[in-house]
Amino acid sequence: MGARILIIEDNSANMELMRYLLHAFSHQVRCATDGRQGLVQARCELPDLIICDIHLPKLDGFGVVRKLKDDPGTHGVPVLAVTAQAMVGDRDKLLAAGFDGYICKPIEPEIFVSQVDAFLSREQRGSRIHS
Amino acid sequence: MPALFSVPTRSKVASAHLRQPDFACRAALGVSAALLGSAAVAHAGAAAALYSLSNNTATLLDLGAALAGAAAVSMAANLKRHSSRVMHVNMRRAARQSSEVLQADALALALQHKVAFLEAALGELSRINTALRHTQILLGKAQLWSLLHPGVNLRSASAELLTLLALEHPFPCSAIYRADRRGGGFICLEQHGLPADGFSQFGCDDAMLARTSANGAIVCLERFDAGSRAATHADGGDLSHALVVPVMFEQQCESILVLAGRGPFSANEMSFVEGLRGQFAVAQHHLQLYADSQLLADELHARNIEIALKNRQLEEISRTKSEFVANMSHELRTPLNAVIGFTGTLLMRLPGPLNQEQERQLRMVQSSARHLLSLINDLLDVEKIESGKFEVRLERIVLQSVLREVFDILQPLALQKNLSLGMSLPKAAISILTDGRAIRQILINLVNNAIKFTDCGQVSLQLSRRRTGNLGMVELVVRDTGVGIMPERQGQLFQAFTQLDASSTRSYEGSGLGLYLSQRLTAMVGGKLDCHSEVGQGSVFTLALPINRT
Repeated sequence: MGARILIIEDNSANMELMRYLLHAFSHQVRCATDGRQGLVQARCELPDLIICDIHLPKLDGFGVVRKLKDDPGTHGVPVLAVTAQAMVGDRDKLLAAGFDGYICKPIEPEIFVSQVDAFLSREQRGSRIHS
Repeated sequence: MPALFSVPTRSKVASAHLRQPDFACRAALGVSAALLGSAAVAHAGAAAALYSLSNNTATLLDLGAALAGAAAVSMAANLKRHSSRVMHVNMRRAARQSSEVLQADALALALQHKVAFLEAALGELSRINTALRHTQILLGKAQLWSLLHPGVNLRSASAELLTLLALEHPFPCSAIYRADRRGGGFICLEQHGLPADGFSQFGCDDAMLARTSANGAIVCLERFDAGSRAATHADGGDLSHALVVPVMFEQQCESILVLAGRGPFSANEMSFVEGLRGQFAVAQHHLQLYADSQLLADELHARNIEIALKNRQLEEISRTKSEFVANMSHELRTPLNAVIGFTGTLLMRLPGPLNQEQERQLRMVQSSARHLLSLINDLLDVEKIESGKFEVRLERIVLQSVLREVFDILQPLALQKNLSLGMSLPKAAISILTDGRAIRQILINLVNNAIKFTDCGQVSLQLSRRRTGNLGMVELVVRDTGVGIMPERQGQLFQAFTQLDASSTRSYEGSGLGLYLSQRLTAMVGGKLDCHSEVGQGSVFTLALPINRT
């Protein structure tokens, strides 16, 4: 049946790509274009999963994940970092900051949805909508 | 006092030792003088004392001086006394004149003996004085040499030397000239007693200095107007001679000493000067060496500071470079994400079906985008290795499986070019302790290159054991039938950003980082990467790895 996924991403092309892919696999996608707005939406919408960029206006990905994990209301929501930060140690740094997972950009469209699904329950996983 | 005794004894130590016998001699002298009028025995006694003390030459001088003076005075007094006594006798005893005359003759004879004896004593004193002079020169030398030790600078040592030559030696005026390396000729480094140009009155001018330095021998100059001038010491007027002494070291004249005094100079003085110039040459050389080493030490210190500064700058540059690479990687990946992503969605036919041509073109977009991504990844890898961030992670790996993995990844690429990709593996599993990521990346680079530079024929992968001495080794060989590499270009093979055909029309794409990275990774896992190639025949790359049993 798919999951409710919040994407926090400031680059519109990348936002569109992820939204399109997730939607194509029957997920319901909500979008936020800066960290602060993403935090507000996360708190009031309580999605099943959050995909978060790191370089973000107003509040960066590290700030977002810290506040989400500090908040008992959003504490249990898995947060995936999808970022172009690909340097050594970036992965460890992100996991240490509270992210549940890390996908490096550029994403591989063929496997992106299954990578996301790995953080969802069986019922929440996406399935291909045949067009 | 006679000139003979004018040279004072400066050795304080010697005079302290001699004070006691000196006193004894003076006392003896006084006694002998008092007795002189009546007895030649007194002179004999004084002479005996003189001989007994002949090893104490300094005292002998004083004694001799006193003795000679006293002898002269007492002789005169004696004569006077004797003659007045004779007159007295004449008046009182005229009758016995003939016998008295005989007595007077006897006295005169005795006096003659006394004078002869004194002359002999004076001769002996002169001999002793010469010996003393020699001793004094030796003492003076020791004092001079102690001046010329390393740690002083040449100018201050020169100043002290010249002062000492004036005080202790018969050279009241002197100068040291140094060869002027830049301007040529000689310039006065230090002078004593006379202004630097004061020596021209001896005929010692620039031309003289130049001649002497070329010739290398000591020249003795006599003043033009010796003796005719008033004897004023202030302008060197009382000095008759000057020695021009070239100081030679290894056939080079580095400096010239000019020593003016009341000549002509004795053989002793000349030998002193000869010794002085030899010692001065060595001392000057040592001082120069010392100064040079001091200069070097200073330079080294300055250089060290400079290097430390450079190091900080380099660290800063390296940090900036790392940041730049990280930022570039981030900035390039962001648009590439959309390119690769949407090409993918189209090829997945998410928006709808594709015709054959659309799919063919989209595949080209995809492969180009992937290539661009691999370049960015290579850059990141280089940065990772060069900034020391790449850490070797040891794990036990079975090489056969790594090779199969690489084979599977690259076989589609070989098929696209209609090349056969072969693999030859030994049956027994070879497992080694190494960094699997590094080995994988090296092999991918090598096989990828082999495919890239081969247009027909085959690329093969081979794994085998080797034994080099006691070392167990494995060899991974990647062989191709490609274009090959010219011998003169093989040296540049492993340099960063070097594709052997670097012209703008080169026909092979790539960053030129692959082999460089492979080489660096090989070194990090303790292996060795070699290449043998012939133009038109193909290339063989051999990766040798040690078998680590622990």
